[in-house]
Amino acid sequence: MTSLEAGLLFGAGALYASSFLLAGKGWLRYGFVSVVAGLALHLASAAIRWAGTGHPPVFGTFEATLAASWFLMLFVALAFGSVHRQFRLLVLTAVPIALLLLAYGVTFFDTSRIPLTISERSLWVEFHALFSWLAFAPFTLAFCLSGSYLWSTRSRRAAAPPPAHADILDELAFRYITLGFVAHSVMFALGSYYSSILFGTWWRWDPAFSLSLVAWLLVGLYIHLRLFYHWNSKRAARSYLLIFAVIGFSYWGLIYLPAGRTFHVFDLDLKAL
Amino acid sequence: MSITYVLILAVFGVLVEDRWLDIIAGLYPFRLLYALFFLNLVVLGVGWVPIVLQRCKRAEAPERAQNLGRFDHATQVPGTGFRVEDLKQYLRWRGFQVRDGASAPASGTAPHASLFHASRGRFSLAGNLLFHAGFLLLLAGAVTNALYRFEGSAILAEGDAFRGAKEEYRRVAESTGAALPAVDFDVEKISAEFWQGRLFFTGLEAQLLHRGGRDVARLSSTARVGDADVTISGFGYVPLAVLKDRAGEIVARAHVKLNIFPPGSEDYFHVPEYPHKIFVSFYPDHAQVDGKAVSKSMHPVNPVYMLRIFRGRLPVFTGAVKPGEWADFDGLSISFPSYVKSGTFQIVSNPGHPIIWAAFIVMGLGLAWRLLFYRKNIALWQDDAGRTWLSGRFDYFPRLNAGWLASLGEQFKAEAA
Repeated sequence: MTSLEAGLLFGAGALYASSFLLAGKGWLRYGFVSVVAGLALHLASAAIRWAGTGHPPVFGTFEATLAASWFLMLFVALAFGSVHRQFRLLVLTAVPIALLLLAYGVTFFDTSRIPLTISERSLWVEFHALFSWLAFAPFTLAFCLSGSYLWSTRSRRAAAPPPAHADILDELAFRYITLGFVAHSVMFALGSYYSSILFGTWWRWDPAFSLSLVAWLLVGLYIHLRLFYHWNSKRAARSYLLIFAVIGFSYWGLIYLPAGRTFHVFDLDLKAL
Repeated sequence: MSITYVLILAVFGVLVEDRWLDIIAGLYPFRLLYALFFLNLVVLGVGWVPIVLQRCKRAEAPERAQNLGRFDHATQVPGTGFRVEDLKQYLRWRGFQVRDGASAPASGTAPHASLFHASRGRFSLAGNLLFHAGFLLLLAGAVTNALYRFEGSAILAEGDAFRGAKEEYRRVAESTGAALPAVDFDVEKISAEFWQGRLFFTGLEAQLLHRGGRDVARLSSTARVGDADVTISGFGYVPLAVLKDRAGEIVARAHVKLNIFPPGSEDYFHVPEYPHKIFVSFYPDHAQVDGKAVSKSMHPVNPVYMLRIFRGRLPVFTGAVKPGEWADFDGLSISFPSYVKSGTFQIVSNPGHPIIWAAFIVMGLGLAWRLLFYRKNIALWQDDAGRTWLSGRFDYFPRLNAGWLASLGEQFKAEAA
C-alpha cells in the first residue's frame, strides 16, 4: 500500500468516524455528507490500488475488507433519503463494523500489491466478488437492524406488542435480507460457473462452496419461515443473528481453516514462493 | 428432510476432505433423498400452478368501491387539494399501471368513491414458480452431465497435433453414455509469465489452431474446439533428447515429456532397447547455493539438466549438462540440445452445461421478480364524509409500505395557498 493510498484510507476512516459522531448528535445531514466524503476518499484509495495492480481490490483479506467496508457504507449512504428514516441507526451500528473491518485488514494482513495468478484472472471472478459484497452489505445491515430490534424490545414482556418503531426495524431487516439473498444467489451462480471452467465441475465439496451453500440454505429457510410460518419479531431477529454468524464465517472464516482445505484463500505468503 | 440432509452434508463438507463428501454424496440412500427433494418440488409445483394462475388472473383492483375496505394501511391525505395527477404520473414512472376508479353510491361508513387505482407486479407470483422450476432444470443439467460428460487431460508440447483419439489422453474420466468428443487442434505456442521470476503464474496461455480458426486457451477461459472446451492448467519444459552410440551415430532423438517443472522436480525415461533409466531434473536459471542446485527464476536464462543414469541399480552417470553438452556413460552419449514448452490441457465436454446455465438464469429471474418486484396495489379514494384516503395492499413489507404511502401523502399534498 502506498502512502497516498494509506492517507486516503485513513481520511475515509476519519470521515466515517465523524459521521458516527455527527449522527449520534442528531445532525444527520452533516453525517450524510461525511459518509459520502468518506466513500469518495475510500474509492480513490481503492482506485489507486486498482490502477497499480491492474485488478479490482477484491482479492486477499486486506482487499476484501476494503471492498466490504466500502459497500457497507454505500448502502448506509443510500438509506439517507429513505422514507423509513433509519439512517441514524444504520450509521451508529454499521460505521463501527466498517471501521473494525478496515482495522482488521490493515493490522493483520499483508497490504502489499500482489498481481493475480492465472486462476484469478477472469471477469467472472470479479463479478462473483462484486455480487458477494453486494450481498454482504445488506446482510450486515440486516444484522444491525435485527440486533437493534432485539435491543429496543429487550425490556418488554413477551406478551406486550413491540413498539411501532421496532416493527419497522424488523421489516427493514427482512427487506435487506431479501436483497442480500438475491445478490448471494447471483454470486453463487457465478462462482459455480467459474468452477466449471477451472475444475470442469459445477460443484465441489470445498469448504468455500459448502459454507456458502449452508448460508444460502439458512437464509432461504429464514425467508420461508417468515413468509409461510409467520416467523417475525423477536424469533426472526434471534434466528437471523445466528444465521449471520454463519454468513460472517463464510466470508471471513475460511482463512482460519487448516492450510490447503480450500482454494478460496487469496492471502499469499510471499516468502514461501 | 432433503434440505436438512444437504445442510448436514454441507456442514460436514467444511470439516472433512472433498473426496469423502463425494463418496458420501453419491451413496444410494442419499440419491433417494435427492429424488425425494425433487419429487416434493414437483408435487408442490403442480399444486401451486393453478393457484398462481388464478391469483395472477385476479385483479386486486377495487373495481367496486366496496372493495376499498379490503385494502390495508389507509392513510388520510391532508386537505382537499391533493395533487392527484402528479401522483398518477409519479406512480407511472415507478412502473405502476394507473386506472381511474369508479364511483358507488354512499352507504353508511363504506367507501364512497375510488379516484384511481394503481398496480404493479401482478404476475410476480409466477417468479416463485420460475425459481423452483429452476431446481428441476438444474437436475436435468446434472443428470445430463452425469450421463454424457467427458473429461480428459493431455500433456502437449508446442508443435504437437492433437486429434482426439483415446490413446492421446493421459487421463480420461467419462460418464457411461459419453462419447469421445470430436476435438482436433494443433498447439502453436505456449507462453507463461511468472511474477518476479518466482513460481507464481501471472500468465499461462496456449495458442491453438483448429478448423474453426485460431483460439487462445487459458486456465480461466476456455477455447471452444469442436465439441469440447479446452483449457490449459499446467506448464512444463519438454527437452529434446539425443542419444549417440560409440561410433557417434545418433540412435535415438525425440522430445521427452517429463514432469520436470517446477525446477528441481525429477522424472525419468527409458530409451527403447537400452537398459538405462535416465533421471532428469531441470533448472532453467541454474545457480549453486550452499552446494545445492537451485533455479534463480522460472525463465530459461541459464538452463542446466541434472542427470542420474542407472543401469539396473548401478549408477553410471551423475552430473550436470548444459544444452549442447554431452553426458557419456557405458559407451553412449546423451545430450539435450533444445527444449520446447508444454502444457497440461483439459478437454471437457459438458452437454448439461447450457441447461445448468438456463437453470441459474431462470432461478435468478424468478427470485428477483418475486422478491424485488412483488405485487403492490394502491388506491386513492374518498369516504362518504368526503375525506381522501390513500390505501394499499402489498405482498411483502406492509409496515414499510405503509410508511411509503404516508410519505406519498405528504409529498403530493397541495402547497398551502
